[in-house]
Amino acid sequence: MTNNVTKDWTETATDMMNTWTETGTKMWQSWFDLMGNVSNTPIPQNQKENLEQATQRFFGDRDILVRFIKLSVNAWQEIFPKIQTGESWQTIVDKYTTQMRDQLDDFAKGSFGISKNNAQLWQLYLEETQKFNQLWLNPFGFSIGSLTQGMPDHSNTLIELNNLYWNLLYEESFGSMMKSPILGPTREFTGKLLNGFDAWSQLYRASSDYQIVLGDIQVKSFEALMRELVNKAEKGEKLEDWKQFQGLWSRISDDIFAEAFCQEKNLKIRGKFLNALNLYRIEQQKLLEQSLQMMNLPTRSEIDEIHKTVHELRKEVKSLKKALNNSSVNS
Amino acid sequence: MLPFFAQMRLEDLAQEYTDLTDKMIKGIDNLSRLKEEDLVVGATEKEVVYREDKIVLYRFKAKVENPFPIPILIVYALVNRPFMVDLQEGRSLVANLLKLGLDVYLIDWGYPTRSDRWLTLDDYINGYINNCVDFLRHKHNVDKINLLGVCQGGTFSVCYSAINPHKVKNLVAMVAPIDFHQPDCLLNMRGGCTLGKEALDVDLMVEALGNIPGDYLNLEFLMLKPLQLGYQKYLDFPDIMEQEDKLLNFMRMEKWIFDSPDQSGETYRQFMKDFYQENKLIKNEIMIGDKEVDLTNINMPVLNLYAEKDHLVPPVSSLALEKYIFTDDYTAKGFPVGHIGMYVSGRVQKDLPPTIVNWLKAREN
Repeated sequence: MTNNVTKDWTETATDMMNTWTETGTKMWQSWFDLMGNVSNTPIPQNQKENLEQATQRFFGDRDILVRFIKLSVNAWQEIFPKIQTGESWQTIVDKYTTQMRDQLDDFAKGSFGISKNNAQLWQLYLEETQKFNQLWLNPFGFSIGSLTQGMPDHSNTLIELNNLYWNLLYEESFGSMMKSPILGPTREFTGKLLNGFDAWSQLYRASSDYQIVLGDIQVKSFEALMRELVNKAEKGEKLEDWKQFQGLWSRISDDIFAEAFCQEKNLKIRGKFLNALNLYRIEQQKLLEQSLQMMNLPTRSEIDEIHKTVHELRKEVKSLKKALNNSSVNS
Repeated sequence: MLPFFAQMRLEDLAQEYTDLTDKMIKGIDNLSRLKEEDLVVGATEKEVVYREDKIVLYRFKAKVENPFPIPILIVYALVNRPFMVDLQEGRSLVANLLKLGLDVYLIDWGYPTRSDRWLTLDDYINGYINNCVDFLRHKHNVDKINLLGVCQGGTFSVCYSAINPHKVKNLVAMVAPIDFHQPDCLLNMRGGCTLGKEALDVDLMVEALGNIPGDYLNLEFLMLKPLQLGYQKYLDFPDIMEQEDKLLNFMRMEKWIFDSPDQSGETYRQFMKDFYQENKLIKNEIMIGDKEVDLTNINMPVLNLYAEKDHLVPPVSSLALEKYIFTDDYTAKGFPVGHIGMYVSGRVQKDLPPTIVNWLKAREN
């Protein structure tokens, strides 16, 4: 096959891929639009906003997936002629994985950079606090949403480095200050605010570690996908269409994902992230309750207490009724 | 130079694009005619026979003149809605059991709200299940009834049978987790079967959330195969949406998957800590309220049904039951499907109902 022909096919392939991805995006756009209009009853404004957010979120995720597919296809375009001529293709895969890992480095460095600057951390915390009533799932969803953003290997090193930064620059300075007793009439509120900041900082750190693990999975998936494509090409097996390609990629990525989270070190990182998320929510709740008390409104804790009492009373009534029935049957 | 593009002719690609557009147009037309009411799950006729708090006990309308004298009570999981056992006509375990002569009852747990945050496993097992069983014993004038526990409901049924062996004639456990410390299962690992609170601090989660949102649990299940379950399955959607019946089936499954009730905080706490993290069931260390769960009390006939490709409850977890119970009448049977395939696979729906009914019939007296 001549270079010209290869170029033609490469261009054709790229064009077709663009057509497919564009078609897919339009298809999903129609789907979401339709979902928004299919109901006979008017959609309340808040639901409409949710739907729009979900649509944007989906497209955001999809955009990331499409970027990954394009990266894989570009790599494959370079690799395939090498396989045909029996040359080494591994260097090309290495080039692409290096590119992805560089992105992880950028991400990690950005994260470390922020952690070095307490003022910036505080600013970010205040921005988060403004979203006071946001769903707990939002930050979780955000993190999962970034699953497919190309990033990492040498993840252990990056995680260690991340922790080192936090230990040196936050825990031993600002972090330890958080735990000191506070003076003055606002000590209770300030204490809660600072605890909230501390919990948020821990969440930020845990989230960075978790992102690094997810990025690492992404790079490994890419390598495994390329290996599998080469294996298939060498055996003369072909993928018939884009759906088969995406099917193969999904299966490989999920296998790598499952393998990664069966490892204790990664489970611990995920656990730290989830636990930090819950702790942050508890601290947020405390602040919220303080505001509610100031406005003379019932708090979550007070309502929980009432529910608990009702539950216990209901149980007692049921048990007494049963005992009464039994005694009347016996007599 | 992509094989999957390079080996296709441009005319073929153009044709495929046209076909896709046709499918889309037809599909959008089908979708726009579909209403939420069309996605009804739980197709078999039924009546409410007992209510307590938010739970409802249903009796399905018999399909034979003289059904079995001993009724069977289906105890489903708290996760997702119980109507998976009666998804639609042609894909209904309940309908098939009725056709084969069983008198079928089902507990619907309802949707716990924040006021149910304090409900415990004691309330579910020694309260609701026990009250439903007593109701049926009284109604049918029998000492014992048959129990069919599904998934987490299977674990509950096992606990109930161990506490009340005198009320259970036959126990059928279906895809029921028993041994939770199977590290090959990602769900167990994420639940903390090896790391405990380092993997998930359940106390902290319950304190933070009160009830555990159904959306969180859905996400957990999706994250077991994130790309296949969250993305890949929708790629077939253009093919599905052009055929009305397929579209309806797909949308019903979507409804079932995402119609996920919240979990009462205290129940979740005990289930995750005692069962998943500490694996107390097989150690006979579970306490439900003030009642000890001693698996050696299970002396009634047991039928253990499992899915050979189950990624949520691995077969080895279900099959562990045999080692810890004290019955001389134990049968295990596997089906070559995954967890959900037990309810929706056409092949399984041919084999599973007769397996249950014939097994019960043989133990009628």
